[in-house]
Amino acid sequence: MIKKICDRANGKKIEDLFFYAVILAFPVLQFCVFYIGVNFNSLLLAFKNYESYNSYSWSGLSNFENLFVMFGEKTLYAVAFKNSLKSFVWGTACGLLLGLFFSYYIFKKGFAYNFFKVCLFLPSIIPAIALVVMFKQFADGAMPQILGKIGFHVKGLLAEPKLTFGSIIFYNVWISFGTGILMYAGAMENIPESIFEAAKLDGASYGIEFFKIVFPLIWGTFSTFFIVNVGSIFINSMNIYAFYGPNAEESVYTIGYFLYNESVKTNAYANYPQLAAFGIVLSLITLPFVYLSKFILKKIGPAAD
Amino acid sequence: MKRKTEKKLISAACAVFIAFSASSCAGRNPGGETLNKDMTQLNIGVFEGGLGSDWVYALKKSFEEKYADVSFEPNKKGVQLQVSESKSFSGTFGTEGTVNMSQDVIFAEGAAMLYCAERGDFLDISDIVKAPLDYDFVRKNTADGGESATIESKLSDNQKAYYSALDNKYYALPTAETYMGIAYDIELFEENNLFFAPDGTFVKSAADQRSSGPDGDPDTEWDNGLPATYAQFYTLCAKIKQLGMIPVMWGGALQEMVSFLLLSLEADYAGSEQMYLNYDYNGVLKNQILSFGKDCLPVTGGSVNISAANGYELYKQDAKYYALKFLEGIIKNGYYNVKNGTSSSFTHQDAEDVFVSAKYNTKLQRAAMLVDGNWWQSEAKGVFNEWEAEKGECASLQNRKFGMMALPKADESKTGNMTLLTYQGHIGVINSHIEDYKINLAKSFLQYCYTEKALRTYTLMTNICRPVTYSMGDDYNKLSSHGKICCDLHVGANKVSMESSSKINRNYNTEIWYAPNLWTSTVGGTTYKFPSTAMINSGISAEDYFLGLSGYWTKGVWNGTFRNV
Repeated sequence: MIKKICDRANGKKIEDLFFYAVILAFPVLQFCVFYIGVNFNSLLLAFKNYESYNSYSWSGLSNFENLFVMFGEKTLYAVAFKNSLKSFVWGTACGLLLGLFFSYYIFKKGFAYNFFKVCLFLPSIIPAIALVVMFKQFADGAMPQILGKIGFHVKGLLAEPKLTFGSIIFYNVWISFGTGILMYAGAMENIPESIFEAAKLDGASYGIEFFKIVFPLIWGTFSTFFIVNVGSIFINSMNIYAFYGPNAEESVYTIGYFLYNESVKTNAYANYPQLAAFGIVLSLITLPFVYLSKFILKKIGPAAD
Repeated sequence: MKRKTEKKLISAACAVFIAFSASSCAGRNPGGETLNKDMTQLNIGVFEGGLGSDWVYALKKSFEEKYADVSFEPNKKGVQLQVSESKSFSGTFGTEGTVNMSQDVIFAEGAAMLYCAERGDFLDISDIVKAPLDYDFVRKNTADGGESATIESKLSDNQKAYYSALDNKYYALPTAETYMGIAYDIELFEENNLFFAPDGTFVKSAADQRSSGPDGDPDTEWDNGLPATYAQFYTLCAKIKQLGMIPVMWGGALQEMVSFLLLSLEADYAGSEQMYLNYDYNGVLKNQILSFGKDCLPVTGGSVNISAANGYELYKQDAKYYALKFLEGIIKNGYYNVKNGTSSSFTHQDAEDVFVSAKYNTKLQRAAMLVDGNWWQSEAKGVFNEWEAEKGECASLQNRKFGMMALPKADESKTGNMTLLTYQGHIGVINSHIEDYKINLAKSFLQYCYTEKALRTYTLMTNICRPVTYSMGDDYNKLSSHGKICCDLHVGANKVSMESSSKINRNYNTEIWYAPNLWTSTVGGTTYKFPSTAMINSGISAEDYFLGLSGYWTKGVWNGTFRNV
C-alpha cells in the first residue's frame, strides 16, 4: 500500500517536472539565445574588427584604445555625456517627483482628476512619431506666432539653439508622466484605507498624509523608478531620433541617441565593434552607480514597519 | 443588468467592425489591383518615395501584352504585374535582406548594393546586361526588329566597374539619375525679367537676348541668361528680394538638402576626377587650401596622394571652401527664407508646396528658387494636381515652367560645362529568393525597363532620366520644362557618381556619401553638422567653417572612424 502511494507520488512528481520543463523550455531557450547569446556575442565583438560582409578578425584591445583616442579628439562624447546627465537630473527631478505629486492628486480624486489623468496618460498611448510631429508644429509653428504677439520674437522653441535642448527635456518629462502615474497610483491604491482614516482622525493635512504616509508606503515603487533611471542614464535617447532622425546637431546628442543612431545607420556593421567596446565601458561606469543608488535608497528609505 | 447588456452589445459591435476591417484587408493585394488567378503574378517592388511607381504602371500594359499567350505555371496563362511600394526597399533591406520579401523585381533607393549582393540578396543578372536587348529570355529567341544594343553598352565605364565589382558579375542596374540642386521658377524669371543679358545687366523683356550662362556656351539654351558666377547669383538674389520675394527657399526641417547642394557645388567646382576622390580614395588631390592670406583669399597649392588612410586631407580641398562661400553669401545677405529656414515644422514638402502654390495663393510669399532634388516635381505631384483642378491645365505639372538651374561658378575663370554629382543606391534588382519558374520572366521585365522605349517612358513619367545612355527622340517635346532641362543636363553635363567599390566605401557607405556626415566641422570647441544652421544661428563664416572641417577630421579621428580600410 505504502509502495503504491510512493509510486503514485513519484509518478506525479515526474509528471509535474515534465510539465514545468515544457512550460519553461521556450522562455529559457529564448533567454539563452536572445539575451545570453546576443550579449556574449556583443562582448566578443568588442575585441574584433570588421573586414567585410560577415567577416570579423580579432583585434585585441584596439577598439578600447581607439575609443579613448576619440574621447580626447572629438567634442561629441563630452557633449553627449553632459546632455545625458542633464536629462537624468531633469528627468528625475521633474518627471519622477512631479509624477509623484500628480499621482497623489489623481489618487485623492482632486478637481477634474479624470481630465488630468487622460491628459497626462495620453502621450503614452499616442505613437511617439505622431506626438513628435505635433510637438514640432507647436514648438516651431504655433509658439513663434503666439510669443510674437506678446512681443517675444523667437524662431521657435526647437529652432532657437538656446532653447532646443530645454524643449526636448520638457517634451520628455511631459511624456514620461503616463507610466509613472500608472505605477504610483497603482501603488497608492494598495495602501489600506484604514491608515488614511486613522490619519484623518488625527487631523493630518494632505501634506502630512503625503509625506508621512503615502510616500513612505510607496517608497519601493519610487526607488525602483529611481534605480531604473540611474541604470538608463546612458541608454536614454530622449526621443531625439524621433525629432531629428539621424541628423541631430551635436549640441543635442545624448549617449543613448549616439549609440542608437550609430547602430541603425545603413550598412553600419563596421561600426559595431567600436560600439560594443563603448557599451562595455558604459556598463562599467553605470554598474557601480546603480548599486550605490540601490544601497543609499535602502539606507535612507523608511523601515517596512 | 441593463449596463451589462449595453457592454455586451458594444463589444459585439466592435468585434464585427474589426472582423470586417480585417476581411477587407485580406481581400486586397498590395497594388490595389484585383488578383487574376488565371495569370502568373510578377511582383514589382518600388521604393515609396518621391519618384513613385507611375512609371511601372506605364510599362505594365505593354509588358503584359508581350507575354499574354505564354504559360509560366500549370493552368495559368499570361503575366500580371503586381506593383507595391515600400520604404523597406532601401539601405540593406533590413537585417534579413530580401529573403522574406515577396517582390520578384525591386527598384530600390539609397541601397547598399555591394553589401546586399555579397549577402546573396540579389540574383546574378549578368546575362541580361550583356545580351542584346532584342533577346527574349522567356522565349529564348531573338525578336525581329528589336534593339540589338546591350544594356552594358548603355553604361559608363565607371558604372560597369561598380556594378560588376563582385566577381565580375552584375547584380544590379542603376535606375535613376538624381542630384541635388536649385530648382527655379521660369515663369517668375520671365515675368520679372530676371535673366541676364550678354552685357551682364538684366534683360528688359522675355524676348531679349540672354547671356551664355555658367557654361559660357550660347548654343546650350537651357542655361542661357542664368547667373554665370556667384557674384551674378547674388545680384539676382538682391533683385528678387527687392521685388518682395524669397530668392532661395529650403525646408527648415531638412537641412541635409542644403548640405547636399553644397556637395553639388563642390563637384561642379572640382570636376569629376577630383570629386570622385571623395568616394574612391584613390588618386592625387590637387589644389589643397594651404592657408588664408591677409585678404582672406585662400592660398592653394601642392598635391597629395590620397588613399583611404589619409582621406582627411580631402577636407582641405578648395572646392569645399567655395561651396561654403556660396552659402555664406546667401545667408549673410538674407537671401533665403529667413522666417522658416531653420524651423523644424517647415518641411521640404511644405517648401515645395509654397514654391508651386504661391503663384495662385497670394497669402504666401513667392519664392524664385528652391533647394531640392531633381525629383521634386514627382514629390509635389499632388500639389500640382490640386491647382490643375482649380485653375485648369495651365497650372498642371506639365505646363508650369520650372527647371533645374545650372549652378553658378565661383568666378569667371571657372566658366564651363557643368559637373553633376549623382546619387548612389538607386538600383533595379531581381530578388535572389524568387521562385524558379519566374526567373526568366523577371529578367525579361528588368531588361524591358532598359529598352529605348521604356527608358523614354520612364523619363516622360518622372521627368528625370535613367543614368544610362539613351535618346528621348521626339518624346523630348512632350516633356515639361523641368523634364527637358533634366534631359539636357543628362546629355550635356559631366557626371560624377557617389558609387565606388573601394573598401572604405563598402564598409562605411553611409559615412562616405550621406551629406550630413560630410560637413561636420569643429569651430571654437563646438562641432556643427550643418553649415547652414551654423552660419544662420552662430554666424560662422565660410572660412572658419572650412578650417573647422580639418579641425574635426584630424588624423586620429579619421583613423579611428574608418578602420581597417
